[in-house]
Amino acid sequence: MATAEKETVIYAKINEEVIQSLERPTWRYWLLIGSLLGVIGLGALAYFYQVMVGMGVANINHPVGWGVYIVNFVFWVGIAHSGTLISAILYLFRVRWRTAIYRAAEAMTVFAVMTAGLFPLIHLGRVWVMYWLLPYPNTRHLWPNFKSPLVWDVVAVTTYFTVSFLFFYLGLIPDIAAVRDRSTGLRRQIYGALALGWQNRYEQWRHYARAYVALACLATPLVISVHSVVSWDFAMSILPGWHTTIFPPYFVAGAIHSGLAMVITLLVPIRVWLRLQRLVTLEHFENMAKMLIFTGLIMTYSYATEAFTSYYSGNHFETSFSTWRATGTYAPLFWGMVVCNCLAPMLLFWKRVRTSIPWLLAISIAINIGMWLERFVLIVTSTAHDFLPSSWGTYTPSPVEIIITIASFAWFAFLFLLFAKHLPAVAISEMKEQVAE
Amino acid sequence: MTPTRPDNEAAPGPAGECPAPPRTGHWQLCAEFDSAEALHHAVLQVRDAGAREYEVCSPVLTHESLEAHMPRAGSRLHYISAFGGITGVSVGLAMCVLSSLLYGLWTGGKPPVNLVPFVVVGFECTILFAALFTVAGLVYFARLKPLAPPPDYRPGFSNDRYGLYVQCEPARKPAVAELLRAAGATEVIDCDAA
Repeated sequence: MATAEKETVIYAKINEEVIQSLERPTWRYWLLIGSLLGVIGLGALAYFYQVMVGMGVANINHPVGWGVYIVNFVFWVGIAHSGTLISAILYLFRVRWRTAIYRAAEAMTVFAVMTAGLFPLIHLGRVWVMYWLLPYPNTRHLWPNFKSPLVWDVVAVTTYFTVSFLFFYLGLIPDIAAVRDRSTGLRRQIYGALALGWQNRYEQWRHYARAYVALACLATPLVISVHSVVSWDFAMSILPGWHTTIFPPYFVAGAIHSGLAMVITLLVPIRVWLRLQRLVTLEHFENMAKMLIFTGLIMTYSYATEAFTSYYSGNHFETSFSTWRATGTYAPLFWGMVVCNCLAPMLLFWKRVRTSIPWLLAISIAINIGMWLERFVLIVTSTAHDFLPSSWGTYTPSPVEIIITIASFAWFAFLFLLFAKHLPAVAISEMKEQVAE
Repeated sequence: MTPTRPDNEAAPGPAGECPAPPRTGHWQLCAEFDSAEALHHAVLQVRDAGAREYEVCSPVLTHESLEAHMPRAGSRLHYISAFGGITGVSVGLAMCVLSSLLYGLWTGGKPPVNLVPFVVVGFECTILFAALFTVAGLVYFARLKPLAPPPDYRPGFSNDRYGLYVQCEPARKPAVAELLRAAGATEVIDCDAA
């Protein structure tokens, strides 16, 4: 068979395999969606209860003013990071293996930021006046303080969501057009509107290619900046454990570490469920596992540096705080974080482990847990154990906080399941481009 | 030495064979091809026959190999992105400075207008506006709108088919269709009848 003929056969096969994953969902899918909606509803009820009764139903109080709501915010923003890494940074470096997985990673980014964005609002005492935080001319003659890292954070996360969404949607346009061309009736109309009249014309492709590169170039520094800005929420303060210059790179590496683990956690079941094993192969998982080793080593180095800096500073508060973190009330969480984030990824040095899907799934889940613990340890311990023994305390999340946290995972899974069954989870046009190359 | 004409410029061609079209975007014929090579060959044939307006469709981003033979090449979208970035940094910094002047917060002995912390907002706004302008520019240049594609669009172009749209005088349609078939088209469609 001539090469050109082979190419077109492969093109058709790619279309077929990806679009077949969008066929009518089974009852199991709707059962899962229904269960997730149930959990989300429970979370909404818990939140409604908090709004009606007051913030007292959450255990955030003196001395720990930032509890699991802020832990969840930082965790979900972190999860969002590897999506842009895989889609933009690896794209600019022309890493070919990203093609099959970047769409799912981008979707994960968008949904993770959507989940993260809920938590500052949930954390607010009087959410109905949240618009007071926006910069607009108002009768109170008040403006947000743009010197505050919290305001930087709002700007950074909003920008990150907007750019990630645009990048995600831009990549989807030619693929939605492919789905439109195979659909009928109402589905065709919906996909037609979403495809923005895409016709695969040269006049569209030439501008599209430029726009895609431009967005990738813009997203690359953005991904570095966003988690650096999130880290400044803490590092700009003077609390022991927070006031350190290592936070920006440490947060960025941690974000990518957790995001990669979440991509693996999501892709393992999705590829089986959508029958995408021929497109998302073991090689993709192995490559992600190698990246996990790399980010795991950075995390280990960061933890070691943090402890060493604290010891070497000669600052009594820093040293006593570091010792307390590793031996005090929250020591089990601290050591759990070290095991999950530093030791577990090291198992991936063995090829047999990193090429075994069950092992990969187990390690990626362990990293997800470890990264959540890291956010908890980082945020809660510094406020629980500051300079004055008289103001020391402990914090345990209340049932309301726990329910809302669980509901956030259900919300994220719900969005991802909707995406996986209604939009192409693998980039059709880029897969073909790779064949053409 | 035979004088060569630059790419992106149509050959004069025999008078009346493929004259200037009535308007861009209105096509008379659409030819379907089963490979990028056949499309490439057909584009050269049509261009050498004197066609000034033609358009190709491809299931993949293969514009780079065709760019030299198309009526238009490249994209000016990066200027729009740069303009967006400049607008963004200006808006971001202006927002910080003006709001600080309107509501002066003298904290820690720091002056209300202090550029160092404003750099963060300026940077984020640069990225935000550049991205928004890029997408707006793409929507404008690529004529994207939430409508169904025109009737002469072939669904195979998003699957594994390649297309070539040509403008020509109605009287010359049979001759141009023949040229396209000879160039390797698997099907030639009359767009006016589509």
